Amino acid sequence: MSRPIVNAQNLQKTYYGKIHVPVLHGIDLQVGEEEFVAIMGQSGSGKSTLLNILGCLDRPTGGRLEIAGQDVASLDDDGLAALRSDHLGFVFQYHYLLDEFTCLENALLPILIRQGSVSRRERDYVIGLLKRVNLGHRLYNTPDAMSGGENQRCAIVRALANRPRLILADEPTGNLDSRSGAEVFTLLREMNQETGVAVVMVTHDDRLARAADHILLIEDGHIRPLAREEQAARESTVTTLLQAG
Amino acid sequence: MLRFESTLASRHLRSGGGQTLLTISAVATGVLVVIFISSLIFGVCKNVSDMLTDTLPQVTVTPPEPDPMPLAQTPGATAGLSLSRIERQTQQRKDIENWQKVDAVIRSVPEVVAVAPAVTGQGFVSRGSKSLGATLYGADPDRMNVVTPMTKYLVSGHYLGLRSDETMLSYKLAEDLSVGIGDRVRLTSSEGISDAFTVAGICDTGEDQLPQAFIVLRSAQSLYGTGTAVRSLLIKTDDLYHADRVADRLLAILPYKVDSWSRQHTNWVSSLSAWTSVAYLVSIFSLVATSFAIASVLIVSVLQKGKQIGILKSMGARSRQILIVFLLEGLGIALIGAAIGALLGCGALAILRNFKRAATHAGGTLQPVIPQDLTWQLVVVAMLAAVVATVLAASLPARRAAKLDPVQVIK
Repeated sequence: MSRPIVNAQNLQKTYYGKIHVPVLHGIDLQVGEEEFVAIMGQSGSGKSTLLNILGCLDRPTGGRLEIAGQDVASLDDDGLAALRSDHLGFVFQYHYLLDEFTCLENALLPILIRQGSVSRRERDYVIGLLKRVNLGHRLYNTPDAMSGGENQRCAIVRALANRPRLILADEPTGNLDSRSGAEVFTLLREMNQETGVAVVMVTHDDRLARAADHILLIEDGHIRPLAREEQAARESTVTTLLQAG
Repeated sequence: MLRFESTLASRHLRSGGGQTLLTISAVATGVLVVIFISSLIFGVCKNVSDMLTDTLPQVTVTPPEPDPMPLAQTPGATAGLSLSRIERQTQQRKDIENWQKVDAVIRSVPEVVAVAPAVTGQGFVSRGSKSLGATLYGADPDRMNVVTPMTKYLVSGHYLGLRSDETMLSYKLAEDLSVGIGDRVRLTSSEGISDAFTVAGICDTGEDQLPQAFIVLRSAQSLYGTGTAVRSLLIKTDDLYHADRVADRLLAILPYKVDSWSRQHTNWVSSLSAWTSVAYLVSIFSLVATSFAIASVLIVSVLQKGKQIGILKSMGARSRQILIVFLLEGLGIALIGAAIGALLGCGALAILRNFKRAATHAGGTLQPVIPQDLTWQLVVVAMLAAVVATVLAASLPARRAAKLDPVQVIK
C-alpha cells in the first residue's frame, strides 16, 4: 500500500445517553493515497459514523486516528476545521449546494472559506473541473435550475476544489437514478485516477463497489475486507433474488 | 478577509425575501418610534423650558433678605430667659450699590454669556381711570434682550432702542387697558413714584403671561428711587442646564442671594424630568421589542439553515466564521432598517410640522400643534442604539449557529 492518508487503529465510538450505544468496536483501517475504497454494510452498521469520524466531523471515543499524518486527537475545533479545509473533501447523498450561489460559486466555496478570496488560477482550475464534468454551460446557474445529477457533479467538483488528499463520499449516488448514479460514480473514479485523490465511499450498490480497489464490510461495528469469493457469492444471491422477484 | 462571511451574509439577506423585509421593518419601526416619540416629548420639554427661560433670567443675583435676630442674641442684651417667636420682617429690599464690580465678577465665570443689571418691582400701570397691577422691569433693552429675548415675542412696535419715556407692555395688559402703540400710560412704582410713558412696544410671551411693563434702567431707577444702584443682576448661561452650577459658583464668591430658574420652578423641572424619562423609557422599550423580534426571526433563520451551516463546517468553515456571517446579517438588517426608520421618522415629523394652530391675536405667529425638537444628534443616537440592539439580538442566534454540530444537522 502507498503512504496512508488515513491510519485508524482500534477506533471506537459509543454514544452516551440514557442508554450507552456502542457503534464502532475497534476499527483498524488504512487508506493509501490514490486508493479507492468502498465501504458496505447494512443500515445502522456504523458506516456513516465511521465516515464522520474519518472526516473529523465527529470524534472517536477510543482508539487513534491519523489523517494526513496528523493525530486528530491533538487538534482543537479550529485545528480540525483547518484539517478538513486542507486535506478533505465531502460528497453527501444529497448535494447540499447553497441555493443562494451559482454552480461556479458553490464549487469555489471551499477556497473562499479557506482563504477569503479566490485567485484567477484557482478559479480557472475549478472552471476546468466543472467543464470536465460537463457543467461548462451551467457555471452561472443556481442549483434549482440544474438537475439532480448536475448538482451532484457540482458537489463533487466542490469537494475537489481545494485539491484535497481524501474524498469521503456517503452514498453519493443514493439520491440519483441509475444512469445519473453511474455517471457520478464514474466521475469519482476518474477523478481518483486523474488527480490521485484517495476516495472512501459508503455505498449499498454492489456493482459500484465492485469497481473500487478494495471493498470493506462493516458488520455490527466491526470492519473486515470483503473477499472476492464472498463478493461473488453476494452478487449471485442478489441476482437470484432479482430473478425470483 | 471577510469576503466569504460578507458574501454569504448578503446572499442570505437577498434570498431571505419576506423574512428579511420583516426584520428590516421591525428595526425601521423601532427607529421611527424612537425618533418620533422622543422628538415630540423633547419638543414639549424644550417648549416649556424655553417659555420659562425666555421670559425669566436663568440666574438672578439679588441682595440677601435680612434675617431677624432673636433678642437674646442682640449685642448688649440683658441675661436671663426670654421667649421670642422669630418672624421674618416684611420685605425690605436692598439694592446692589456697586453693581459694576459685581457685574465684572459674574462675567469672570466662564459659563456666563450675558449679564443685565435691572431694577424690578411691583407697581401699577394706569390709563385714565383704569389702573392695573403689574411687574415693572427696568433694564437696558440691548442687554436685557440677550438675557431674555423679548424681541422674539414682540407683537408690534419695538423694544430695542426704547427711550427713557417709552415702555413696552405685555399683550394682555395692553388689551385690558385698551392701549396701543403711541398711547400714553402712567407707571406707578410700589415706592409711590409715578411717571408718564408712551407705549412703544407690545409683546406676547404666552397665554398665561403676567401683566408686565418694560422700561429702561434709568427710568426704573427713578421710579424706585434706587439712585445708581440696581436691585438685581440677570444672567444668561451658555446652557440652560448649567444654571444651577453657575448659581452655586456665584453663591460661593458673592455676598448675595443667587437663584437659578430651575430652583425657582422645581415643579416644572421635575415635570420636565418626568417627560424626559418617559421619552427614554419609550425608546428603550421600543428597542427591546425590536430586538426580540429580530432575535426570533434570526433564530428561525438559523434553524432553516442548519444543514447549510453543517455543510459549510464540513468544508472547513470555523465556528467563528459562521458567527460572523450571522452577525453581519444582523448588522446589514440594522443599517438598512435604521436608515429607513430615520427617513420615515424625519418625514413624519416634517409632515406634522405643517399642522399649526392659529395665533391668539393679530400679529402673533402660528405655533405648531405639537412642538418638536428634532436634532441630528437624536437621529444619530436612535440609529446607533438600533444598530447596537439589533447586533446584540443577532448575537444569540449567531452563537447558536456557530455551535451547531455538523453531524447532527447533516444526518
